[in-house]
Amino acid sequence: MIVEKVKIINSLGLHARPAAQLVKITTRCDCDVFISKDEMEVNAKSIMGVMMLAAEVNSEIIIKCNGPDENLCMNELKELVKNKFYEE
Amino acid sequence: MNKKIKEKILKGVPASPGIAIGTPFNYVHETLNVSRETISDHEIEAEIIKYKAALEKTKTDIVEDKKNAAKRGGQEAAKIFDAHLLIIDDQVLIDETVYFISSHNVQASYAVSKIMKDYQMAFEKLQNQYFSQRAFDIEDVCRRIIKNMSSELDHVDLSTVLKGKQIVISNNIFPSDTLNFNKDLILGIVTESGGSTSHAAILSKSLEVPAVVGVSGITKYLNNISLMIVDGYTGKIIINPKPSTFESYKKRQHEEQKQVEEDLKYSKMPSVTLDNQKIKILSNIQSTLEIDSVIKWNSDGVGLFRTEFLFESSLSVLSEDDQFRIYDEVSEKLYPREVTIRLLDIGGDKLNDKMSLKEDNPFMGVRGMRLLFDHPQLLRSHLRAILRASGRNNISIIIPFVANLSEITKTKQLIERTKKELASEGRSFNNKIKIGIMVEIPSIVMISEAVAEKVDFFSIGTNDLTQYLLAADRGNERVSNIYDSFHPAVIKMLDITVRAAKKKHIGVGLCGQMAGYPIAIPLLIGLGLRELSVTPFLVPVVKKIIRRLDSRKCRILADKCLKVSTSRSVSSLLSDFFEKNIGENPLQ
Repeated sequence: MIVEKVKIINSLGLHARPAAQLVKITTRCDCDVFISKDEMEVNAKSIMGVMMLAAEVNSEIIIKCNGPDENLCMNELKELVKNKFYEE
Repeated sequence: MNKKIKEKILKGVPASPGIAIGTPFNYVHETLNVSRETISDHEIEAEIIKYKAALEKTKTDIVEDKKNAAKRGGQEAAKIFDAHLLIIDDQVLIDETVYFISSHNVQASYAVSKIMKDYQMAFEKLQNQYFSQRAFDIEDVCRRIIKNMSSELDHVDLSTVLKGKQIVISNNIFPSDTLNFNKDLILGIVTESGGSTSHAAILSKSLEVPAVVGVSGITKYLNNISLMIVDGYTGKIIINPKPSTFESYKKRQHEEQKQVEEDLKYSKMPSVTLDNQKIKILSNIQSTLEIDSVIKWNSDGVGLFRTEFLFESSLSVLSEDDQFRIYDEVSEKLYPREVTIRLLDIGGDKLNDKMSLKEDNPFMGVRGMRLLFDHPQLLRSHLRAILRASGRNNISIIIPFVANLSEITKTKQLIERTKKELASEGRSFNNKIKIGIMVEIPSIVMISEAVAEKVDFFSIGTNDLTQYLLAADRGNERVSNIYDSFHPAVIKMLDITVRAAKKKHIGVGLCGQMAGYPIAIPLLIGLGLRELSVTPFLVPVVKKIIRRLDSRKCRILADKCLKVSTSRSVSSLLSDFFEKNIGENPLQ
């Protein structure tokens, strides 16, 4: 399992469309993916779960990937967040 | 139950004007209380199949609704259903539901409602308004799934259950209800929750039926109402009216109907004064749903398209393409009429952003351009979308909430940069797009001649101008006696602004509530304004007054108003003039 802390930098945070982008990646991957923020941890393959984190700009989330393609998945997710979900 | 109660008045927020008198129709969405039924092991598979079939059916329904919404209400309405499709495709939600059915031996509808409620509760707890509002979307989607699984929770088709035309009473109106509502079926809408920008409010305005929202307690009375009155002007709901109340409202309703017929007649006549001055009467809108009203009332175009509602009502913050489709739709449907789009004017409390800390005084804090400058990506996509939609040359831009020249220069530079960017991508846009500003902060009025050299037009927002000039929060009831648009200082501000615009040969219009006050219209014409922007249904009322005015007499009136020193003197000058020259006050 790999765990990494990532900072959300797009101005609107993890609202519906970025959440959908993120879930598109996680559901394609075989590994389990969980994301936590503050006290809450959610399954990152669920858009409802991801939105429930209410992750706003500048908040930090912790991504956990566990499974055969965990490295690939983590890299893709980090890339997505770093590139502001390719929206801005 | 069913006990007849005496006349009772409830108060809510007026959402759409008009008087409705009729019987109530119960359109309350019951709290989803699907009872738990235990099923045996061998029934589990059948329940899961039923659930999956309902998912498929619901998905098809939503896709269908989305198509119809795009046709009827426009791109903006369709957007809500996009988000619902994301929710229904949530694999984790599906897995959780299937697991719940098989591990607890319960029927599918119970599992869906149970899981929905858990999510709802979790979402409602969230501090951020954008995220907590998503509870409604989950509820809407889950209701549809459950409806598609059971015969009891039938889909209510209003056209078959209403007893003639009735007043629809609901706790809340969901996006999926929209297509069920039709002007020919309902007299009015009353909801227990919601404010003036709720889905119910926008819907009723676009249908042009009287509506009052946020009437707390209304659903409790449902069984005790034999007749009710909805006053969409004041927000009053009168349950079981006394004969005298009934008669007076009946009379008002009758007058209103005559008025509407007359308004329609007026709306076809040209908007000119007795001395042949052409006055443009534009509309203030906040949604594509209002385009039809603009056309119906023969407005000269849109003087103020408030973009705030687009962002507040949409589940996703709108992307550049989403915005482009909305602006393009307004531009196309209203062509060749003009459409003036005001850049997003919201306060930090509305944006989903930790950076905008809670402000003690948000009206004087980070809002309008101040906020947009802090969010360059948002501003960039906003400007790109507007410019991309400007190809028909009927769109112009208003810069909101500016206090000094540098904010204007900065915005103009950003617009120029965006144009270059679009040009390099080979996209078409109006290179000469007109750029104006909202005149709503007194400092801008004091330097209006200098500002007029930098912009193509002024749009005066009297509501904010009054509030900032008199230091009286317009939402604070305790200072409502101070907040007064007829204060001579406000009139002087208008005079200075109009003179500066004329001197520098730029356009000037007024889009505040003042343009909709009948008695103020002669004054505005007298001050030299030739463009007024009002709510669409007020267009004929304004036109009717204008057709009875002589602009030279109005000028004399304005000069008198500029010489007095109290609002009371201004009011009495205006009332006297109105009585002599127009006669009865068309808005009572």
